[in-house]
Amino acid sequence: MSCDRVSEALNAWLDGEVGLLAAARIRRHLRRCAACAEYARAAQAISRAARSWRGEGPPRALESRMAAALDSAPAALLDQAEALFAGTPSPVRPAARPRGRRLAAMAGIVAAGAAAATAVVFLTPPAPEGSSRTPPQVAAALPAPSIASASLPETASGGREEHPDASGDPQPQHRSAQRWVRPTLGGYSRAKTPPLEDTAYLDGRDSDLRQFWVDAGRGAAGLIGEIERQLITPKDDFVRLPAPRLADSAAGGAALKDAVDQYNREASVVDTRLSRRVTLQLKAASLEELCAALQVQAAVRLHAGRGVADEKVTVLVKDLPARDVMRGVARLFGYYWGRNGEGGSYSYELVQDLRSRLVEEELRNSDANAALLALDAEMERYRPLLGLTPEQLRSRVAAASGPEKARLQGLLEHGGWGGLQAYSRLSPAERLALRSGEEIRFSLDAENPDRRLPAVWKRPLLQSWNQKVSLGTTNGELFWNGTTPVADVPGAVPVVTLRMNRSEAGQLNLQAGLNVTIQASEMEWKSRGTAMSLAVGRSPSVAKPDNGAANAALKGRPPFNRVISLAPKPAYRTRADYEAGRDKDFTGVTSAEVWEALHHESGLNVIADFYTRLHPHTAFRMERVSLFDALCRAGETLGVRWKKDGDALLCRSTGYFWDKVKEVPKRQLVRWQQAARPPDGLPLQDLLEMGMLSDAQLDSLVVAEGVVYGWGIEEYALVTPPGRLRSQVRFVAALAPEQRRKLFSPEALLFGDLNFAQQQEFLRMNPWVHDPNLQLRPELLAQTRLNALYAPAGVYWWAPRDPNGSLQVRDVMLTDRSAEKLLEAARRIDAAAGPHQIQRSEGDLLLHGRIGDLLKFGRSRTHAFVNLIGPR
Amino acid sequence: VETSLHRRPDSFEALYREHGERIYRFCHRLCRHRADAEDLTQEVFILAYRGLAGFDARSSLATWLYRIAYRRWQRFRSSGSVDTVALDEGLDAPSPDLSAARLDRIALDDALAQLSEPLREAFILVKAEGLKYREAAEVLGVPQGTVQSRVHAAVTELRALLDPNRGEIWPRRPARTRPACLKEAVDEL
Repeated sequence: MSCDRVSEALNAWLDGEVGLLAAARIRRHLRRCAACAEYARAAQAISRAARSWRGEGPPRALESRMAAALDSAPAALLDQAEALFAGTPSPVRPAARPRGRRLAAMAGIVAAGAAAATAVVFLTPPAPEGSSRTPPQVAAALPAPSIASASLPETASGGREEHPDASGDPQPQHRSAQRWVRPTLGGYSRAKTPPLEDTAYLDGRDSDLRQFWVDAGRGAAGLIGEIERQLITPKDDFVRLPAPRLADSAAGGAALKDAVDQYNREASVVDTRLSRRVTLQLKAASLEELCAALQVQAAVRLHAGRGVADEKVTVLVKDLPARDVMRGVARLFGYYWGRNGEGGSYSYELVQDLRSRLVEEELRNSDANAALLALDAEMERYRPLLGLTPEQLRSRVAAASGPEKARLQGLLEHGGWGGLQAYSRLSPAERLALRSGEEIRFSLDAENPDRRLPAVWKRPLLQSWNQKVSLGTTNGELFWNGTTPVADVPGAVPVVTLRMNRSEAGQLNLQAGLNVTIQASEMEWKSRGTAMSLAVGRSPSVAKPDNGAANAALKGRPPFNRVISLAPKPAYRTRADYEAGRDKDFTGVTSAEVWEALHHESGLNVIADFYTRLHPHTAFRMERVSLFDALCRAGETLGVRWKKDGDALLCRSTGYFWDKVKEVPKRQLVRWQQAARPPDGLPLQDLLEMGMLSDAQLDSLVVAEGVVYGWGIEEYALVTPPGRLRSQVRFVAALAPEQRRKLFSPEALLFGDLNFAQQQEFLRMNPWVHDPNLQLRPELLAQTRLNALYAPAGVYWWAPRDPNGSLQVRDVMLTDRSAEKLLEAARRIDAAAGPHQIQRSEGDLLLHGRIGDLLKFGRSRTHAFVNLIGPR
Repeated sequence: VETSLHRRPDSFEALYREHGERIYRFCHRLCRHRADAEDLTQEVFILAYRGLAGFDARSSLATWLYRIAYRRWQRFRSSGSVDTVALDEGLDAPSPDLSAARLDRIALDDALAQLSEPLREAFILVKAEGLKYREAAEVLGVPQGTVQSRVHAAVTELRALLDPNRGEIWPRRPARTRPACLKEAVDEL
């Protein structure tokens, strides 16, 4: 019997399905053939494992649920059963069943909600006339949600209901098919209002429901409402007056009447001074600057509240009443002007109330959620790939084309595979952390078991990056340009990171990183990483503003039918200018230049918000187009919605609620720009101030491009992505003056001089100290000496080179404003130092140190190193 | 004469009590998701009970039920509503069974998931459910020889997939021969 025939019959033999003669032949063959015997052993083991599955049974509740479903199953099922073997079955939906613990929990919530609802009903006032049910009866008549009815049938007085489907056939009630009936105050109406989805009930979206359960029955509400009805709207409608404040238990008391009368007197005042006409040409000005300019021309005291003073605005108006400017600004931002003082000498303050702030917060939340959902949907596309072997994945890559091919290639060539696997295994807490901007790091030796990569992942992870190295050299450039795949390097250690980047408005970018550390020599480790964007989720706020449809009524009407040509004047250097080495004739514009050109061409008064975003001026060049079309096209490119309001055009960014938290105040930009002028460059203190901006500000690459290139503040790149020095800058900023002095002097700052929080921060910045191979004992760590060097942009710097010319930034880095003096100083250290080694800094901070005689470490804008310096 | 295998049960309860476990188990292995398996099982028994009169006793009742389950599964799968959650979702239960046998099963489950559907179905019916090749052929609606060759192909592929020295398989679940990594992988769950 040949091996082929035996192997085919082997499984049947193992399953007892061959005749005696065949069985004897197989046994004889197995005694002679080691390969087939091995196969038989493996097949037997697999069969054993498969049989071990047999212990699992259905949940006990299934039988009773099925019996209930059987009772309520429609007669159509019978037809299906009969048709089943005829091959023409029609779809049938199962009866509701709880889906794991999640639904069980939801059922609990609903049950609890039902109990709570009943309690509330008893507290609500009696139903108005016309309602046939008293509140308790209403609760009793509520149809229980399907989830509850599935697992808690005793709570459902209405029992299970069958709803006809689109075809009119009755369908068994499914878990998502059950609907609440929209309530009205005092009762529920099944017939008059459309049904409400369970989810809308649960998440409080329905205002009627919310009002019914939450708002009704508050005793003071009626009185407050009565008072509000007596207050008149201020004649200056952009002004908000403080509401009457009094304490009087009698609703109709004299004090109350006086307060209302006083408010109404104030409200009826019209400040005639605000009728003065003003002409303003403010581009990207802060609201504080606007108030100052307006104050001069209107001769009225104005100022912006602290919370809004740094907001930026473009106001281009000619001969417009100050009142209209104030109204336009208030409407544009959703703020209000508070009036203080006495008649004839009122002063005004622009403020944002809590309600407006909460609305913005809500917009950000809902926008972020929409982006998150979009991102999750994007990640779902990877789900079929999760269980694939690398070979299978590679074959998919070979078969794919276009963007799909690039996406799959990223998984295998840029380390995305590990991130994908890690993302699919995130716990709810980790997902939350990821969503809040935290970087989730997985390694083979992580102390937290949840963050520990299984050892068997190691090779596949390394295989998922096409990086090759050259072993036997410590020169970084040569090392990372070798021929040996990292997967073949013994001792290579992978680390997987996940980070959700929300740097830009309404957009989430899930980035997977793979970092590999390799011991290049006995004394030196090399580390390098790769990253890829796994998925991008975009929210509605980045959608096009569609101004054409929103302002269709204005099309063809004067002045929007006027034909104009648009050519905004470039005012900012862009990245392209920087890379092209252009020192003048820049090409960048912001929205301010665009509105300025439009205002100049059309005479239209413009009040627009301003957020730092550079555009090429060519994007707005238009020849002989109607003003309407020009506005629409400019709005689309800028991401701005515009609206005619009186004699002015109001222009608002679609993602303003994101943009405003990312914007850097103009007062700081102006100060940094002035301080950064040559030859000294930006002082360290200003760099530290940058580091103290919020993460939301520093994470925005769009704003960073505007600051670095547009404003020419190169050091800003140190604290924004992809610069990796934000933590270091913040660490230095948090030091006391004496600590900082030591840090920047040869004296050095000792680890022991740091307070507990600073020590923790140092350890967080240098996770390698936890490497078990280093065995860094606390007493050794206490010998750490820290130093820092700061080279502002424009300053020249020099560091020693190794014998093959490679840069060796270690604890020696010389800086000087003069290239000649620096060269002299460099030659005192290394006689071979030449002019070609003198480099102009783009702004750098080197935070470095040594731990006893064991280690040297450091990080700068371009280098990161950890090296042994002596015997261990 | 009706044998016990071919006898019609008197009630729905009797039908379910006698065959519920094996059909549920079969559905669970096909769906790899507990909740979906419950749905599928429910459908099978409702359809079977309603159509019991049409059972002609030419095959065993169990085979008949398997056949219904298999057909419903095919419909379920083609509807695109198949979940890909792993069979071992029960591992996050309060007292996970980390015995070697269970881990072997977990590894096998992962490997099975990588097989083509025809091979997987044939393997489950014959090796896990213990059906004869003839019965499996009846359930699947293919010749017996086809079942035999599919089982053989499935075992051959599984053998390769479960080979601990192979290395390039993505080991979502550990194999018993890698004790050092077992706990880590289970922790991952």
